[in-house]
Amino acid sequence: MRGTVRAGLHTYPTGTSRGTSPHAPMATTPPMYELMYIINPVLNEEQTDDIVKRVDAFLKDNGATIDQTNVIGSQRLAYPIEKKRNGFYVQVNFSSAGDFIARLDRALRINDEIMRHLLLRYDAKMQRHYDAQKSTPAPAAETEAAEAEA
Amino acid sequence: MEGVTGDAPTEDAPATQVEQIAEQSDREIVKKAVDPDVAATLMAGSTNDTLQRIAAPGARHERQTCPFKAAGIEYIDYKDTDTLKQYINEQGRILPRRMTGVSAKFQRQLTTAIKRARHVALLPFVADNVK
Repeated sequence: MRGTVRAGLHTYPTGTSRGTSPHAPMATTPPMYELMYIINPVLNEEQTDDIVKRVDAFLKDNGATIDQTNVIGSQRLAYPIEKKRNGFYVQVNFSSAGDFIARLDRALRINDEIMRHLLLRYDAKMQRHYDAQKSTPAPAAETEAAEAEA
Repeated sequence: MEGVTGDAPTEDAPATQVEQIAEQSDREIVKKAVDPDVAATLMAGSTNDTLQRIAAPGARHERQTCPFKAAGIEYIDYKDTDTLKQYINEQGRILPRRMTGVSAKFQRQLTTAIKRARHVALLPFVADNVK
């Protein structure tokens, strides 16, 4: 009894389900992701720009297509992180294959200049929300960006 | 809730009324008290606990409707801090839905949104004045 059950388990998941399922969604459309990260505010403009560019380049190099990079700018943090009261916020929306996300997450974590990051995969609801927001750009985000520049 | 907390000024009134109608039965006392607050004090024997239970939230309230359902919102964005701030108290804690009337479905979404916002320091874990 036990032997037969085991045999079934061994042949089924490893053979078919596990082997092919990660590749099945890749063949269709790669999922959308949202990345928000906070850059160390101590850096000067040039250095922050460089980091934003490097992250974008890293995404592109790994086969991700960037939908938009929204530089929100310097903002006061709700609580201090690494003894800093401000942070430079950047939001990136991109679509990518799933196996890259773990590497991206690790790279962001290792980078000392990036204090925090948040990576989300969009589901259907979030995608609809994002599309709706893109068609009618949020006035709040724009004013925040304008304030940061001023 | 206002009536419950405001029992300090009315304390004198029920006391005299009780003296006046001390011989009468409990039912008649309740009938005679015009003010619902006074009625509550008489019925409950003026302990604060029972008073609160009588005026408990949701006891005989009309059902609140979920603000997210009403607004036709499908996804609660963690970046929308102005909305999220309405659902945390001044300490920074998430309000229970019995106070806000949010449906269970959206309370779950709201919770994750607030937690995400906290992670990226858009919202506080604990407010500065409490720390």
